[in-house]
This record gives sequence, C-alpha cells and structure tokens, in this order.
Amino acid sequence: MKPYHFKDHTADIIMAVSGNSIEELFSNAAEGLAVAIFGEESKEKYRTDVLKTELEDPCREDLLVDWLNEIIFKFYAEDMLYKQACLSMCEEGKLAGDVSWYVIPKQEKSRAKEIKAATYHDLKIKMKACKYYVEILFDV
Amino acid sequence: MEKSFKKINDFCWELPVTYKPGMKVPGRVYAREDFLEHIVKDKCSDQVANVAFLPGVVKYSLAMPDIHWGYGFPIGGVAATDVNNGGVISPGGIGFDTNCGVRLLRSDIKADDVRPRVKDLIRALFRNVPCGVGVGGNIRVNSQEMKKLLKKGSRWAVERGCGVREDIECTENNGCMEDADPDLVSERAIKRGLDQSGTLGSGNHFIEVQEVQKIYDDKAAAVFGLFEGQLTVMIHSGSRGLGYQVCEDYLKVMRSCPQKYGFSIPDRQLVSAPVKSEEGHRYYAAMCAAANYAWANRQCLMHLTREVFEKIFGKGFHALGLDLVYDVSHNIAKLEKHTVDGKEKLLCVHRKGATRAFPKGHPDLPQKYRNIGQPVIIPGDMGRNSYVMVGTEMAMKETFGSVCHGAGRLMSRTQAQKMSRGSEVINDLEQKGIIVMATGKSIVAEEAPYAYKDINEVVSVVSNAGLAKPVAKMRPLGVIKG
Repeated sequence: MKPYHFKDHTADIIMAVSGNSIEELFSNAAEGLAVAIFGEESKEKYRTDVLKTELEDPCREDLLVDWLNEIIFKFYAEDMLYKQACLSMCEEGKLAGDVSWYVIPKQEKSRAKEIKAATYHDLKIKMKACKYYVEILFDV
Repeated sequence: MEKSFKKINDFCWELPVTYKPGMKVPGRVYAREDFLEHIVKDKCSDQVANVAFLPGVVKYSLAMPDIHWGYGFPIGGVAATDVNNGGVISPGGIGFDTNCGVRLLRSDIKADDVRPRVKDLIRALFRNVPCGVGVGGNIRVNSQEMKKLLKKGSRWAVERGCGVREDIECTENNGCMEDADPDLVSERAIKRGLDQSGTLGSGNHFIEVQEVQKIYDDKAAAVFGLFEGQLTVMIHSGSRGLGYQVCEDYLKVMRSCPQKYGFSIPDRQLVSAPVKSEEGHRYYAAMCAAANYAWANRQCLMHLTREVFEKIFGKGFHALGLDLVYDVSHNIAKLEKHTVDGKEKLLCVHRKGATRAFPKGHPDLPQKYRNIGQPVIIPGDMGRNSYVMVGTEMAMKETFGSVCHGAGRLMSRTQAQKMSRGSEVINDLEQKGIIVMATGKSIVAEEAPYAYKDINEVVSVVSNAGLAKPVAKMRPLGVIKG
C-alpha cells in the first residue's frame, strides 16, 4: 500500500501522506507529489542526477512546504523530477540529504499536470501510533 | 449550517460576526438560496469567516455567487483592508496565479460566415499558440529584458510590435501597475517565467472563439462594439510560473509577520503583513511586477491570435475589426479609494476569483467607456455561455466595485474525470457544434461543462443583486486548452 493518497477538493489537490519517521514522511510526500505531477508510469528510461539539498526552518510544517515547493520548482524551472532521497532532519529544523532526480526532456513535459505550489492550508503534521501523518493542499 | 446565514435579500446572505469568534466584520455571500447548501458543504462559509479575521478588514468579507472552496480565501472572495489603519495585504487573497484574467476581442466577422471553417480556425490557433505544461513561447527574453517587461507590462509587448496603443487603453490599469519593482522579484521567479512569455498555460486557461448569441443592452453593446451573430474571441491566462513563484516567495517572507505585528489568523494560508510595512510594501511591488507579466502575456497571446486570423482570413486584423473590448484581472490586490461609512478611504482590495466592475463616470475607465461603465468579462465553461456585463454604482456601494469571475467549480477534478473520459467530452461538444483541441484528454475531462456551475445562474444572481448588468451573452464555437 502506498504511503500517500489523494483526496477530493473542488478546485485543487489534497494529498494525505504518512511515514514511520519525519524524514520518511518528507520523502513519501515528495514521491506522491512527483506522481501527481508526472503520473505513475515507469521513468527508468530517464537519466538521473544526484544533488545535495539543504533546507532549514524551525517549524516542520513550513519546512515541508519549502521542501515540496523545491520539488515543484525543480520540475517546472529545471526539468528535474524527484526520484528518491536519503534525508536527515536534525532538532534545529535542518533538512539535508542527497536527492536523486530524473532529468526529463523538455518535449516530454507536456504530459505533466500543472501544480503551482504547496499551500499552508490546514497544514498540521500529526502523530498517531508512532506514525506521522499530514494532509497537504496543492494549488492546481 | 445554512441556518448560520441571515437573509439580507433574495440574493445576499450574511454570516454574523458571532459565526466564528475573532471575526472583525460580518461575511456576505451573494447567492440564491438554493446555492447555500453547496456553499456550506464546500466549507466556503468557514473560509469567508476566516478572511474576516484580517487586520484592518472593513465592511464585510465578501463572496460572489461563483464561490467555491479555495485555500485561505475562498475562490470568489473579496476583502478590503484599510491601508492607513493597519490594513494588511495577503498573498493568499490574490492567489498563486497573480493577475489571472481574461480579455475579449470583438470583430466585424459574422459567425455564420465562419461556421464551416471553425475547425480550421481552432486547429490554426492550437498550432500557433504555445499551450500546455513545459511548452515554451517563441517570445524569448533574457533576464535584463525580463526586468523591462516586469516594469512595463502590456506596453512592453506593444513596443515590440505585439499590438497597438489602443489595446493598452482597453486594459485594466492600462496593462501596467506602476508600483512594480522588478528587483523585488526573485531570480527563481524570473527563471520560472523566462521562456513562458506568450504561452497559454494549462488547467482552466483557454482561447475560445465565440458567437454573440444575445444582446441585452443595445446602448452598451454599441459602445463595446458588439452585435448579435458576431464572432468574438476570449483569452484566459495569467502570470504563469513567475507569478506562482512570487506568491510562494512572499508567503514565506510573511510567515513570521502575524507574530511580528501582533495578530492571529485561523488559517496560515492567510499570512499577511500591513500594507505599509516593509514586507507588505515589498510584496505589493513584486505582485505588481507579476501582474505586469500577466498583462504582457495576454497581450502576446492576443497578438498570436490576431496573426492566426490574418492568415486564415487573408486580411490585417484592423480590417477584420479584431479589436480588444477589454481585459480584466480576477486575481489581484489593488489600492483603491472607496467610501466607507461616509468617509473616503484608501483600501487594499483583494479580489481572488473576482472581477473589478466600475460604474460609468469612474476616472479609472478609458474615455470611450466613461459614459457607459466598465466592460466586465465573465467566462463560463466550454459547453455553455460567457457574458459581457457592465459595472454599476451598486457594486461600488456594496462590494468595492467587484463581481464574480466565472462559473465556479461544482466538483473536484477527480470526480469530473470519473464521470466521463476526455474523448467523450470532446465528442459530445462536437455534436453540439463546439470544437475542442487540447494537449491532453484528461484536462478536458477535468474542465468538462458539468464540472462547473451554470454561468447563467451565477450571472443572474449578480444581475438581480444589481452589481452588474448583462450586455451580451456568447456561446462557444471552439476552444483550445493547454
């Protein structure tokens, strides 16, 4: 079972995500966002790149928005789609790690969905039975 | 929950300040009584109430009859804050697509004369206008040129041969917000917008060829250059990735502002800063730049549309009478003077999925419309109608000169896709004489007519509430979508 699913919203997209750790929540959210942008078809034919990422904010929800908006920027501005990440988060609100990206040829981007940004709407990371949960609304 | 609404009249319903502790003003929703159940189910009443928390908000947190669930503000939301009394500016009250808006071109062409060739016309538009995700435009700019575009708006495009001076006069704000400061637009935003000038985008953006089906106001129609049976073209697009990034950048800047300036908000998407603060000033100037990008974009899209018509009809666009009626924004914040409790005040009017609708005599209108009022362009879905209306004094009095922006969504994209496949929607519309060309079938399903409210009912509320008067009704002949 996938750690994310999409819920109904009149105009936009809500994604519900879970993770066994905060880092896993963040990487699962990124994976779900990549599917929302580009679909579930195999992307193994695309070249990949690995880049170091570092973001910082004391508020975890804000950090999540920054992280997801980074995924969005990378795709629409730099033709790179999130593949996977090895992340670590420290107490001081620093998220860092190596992130793998698919390099998507420009002519193939036309099948993507236009997702403008992750929003702060009703955003709250919750914990239940040792698992992290969050619902994020994306503007479409 | 519908019982929370107090009836003001058949088309106006009030949410009292007691609906949610913290509301500074009541909410007012313009709707028919049978709309209220959906409004409540769609969580819009809470969003209208949340907007009423904004510091400096005056009179009412308003919502137009095309209201639906958004984030922060509802779509169809209007709110004004008192600039000189701690009033805030909220990026969430504009939306990510800064200056998403619509323009209408009139023509001397009769729809009957073109009907056999509509498919050719739509095909030519689809080939020549860049649309869809990741599709770059042919109008290339570097970073330096981009700064000029962000400062000048429509004028930038016209100076490069993409239109004429008269186009600028027939654009809200003359296609340029003078307070724009390109230096306050981030490099990330510029990067996102660099190759998107003159591109339609995706989602609910479109170019639609229409026929004027009915004229309601002969005098206004004559001034706007409209007649029954006429071919018109409507263009709907916005500030593309540049605008989205500007909004995102300043939402981040303003995250700490509620604590800094001592106010609380029930939804973090409503983060804001006093207009007169450092953060408020910077966002407003960047927002103006993004708005100018959108106006330049729509000017370029119109230029590309005119080129297609010139090629198909073998005449210059002047000879075809393919003139701009007006261009309106429906996601923006404006600094405007309005009368509040008998006093003139400078307000920051947020319109998120709402359109300015100024009455006759207003100094912001072009001279040719000053005796009649502002044209208000209201697009519907691609299966039914669109409208041109004219602004009224009632709107100035009740809604800060604002009306609806379109039909408003009725169902989610997922639900719409479950009801029909995109190819079925395209076939159904072709049976009705409407040609649709899109880069993807799924977007057609998401944007199917049944996913939207009936624009005729929405416009009827606006008209019956006295906020704007119908001038013309159009029906689609063909549409291109990204």
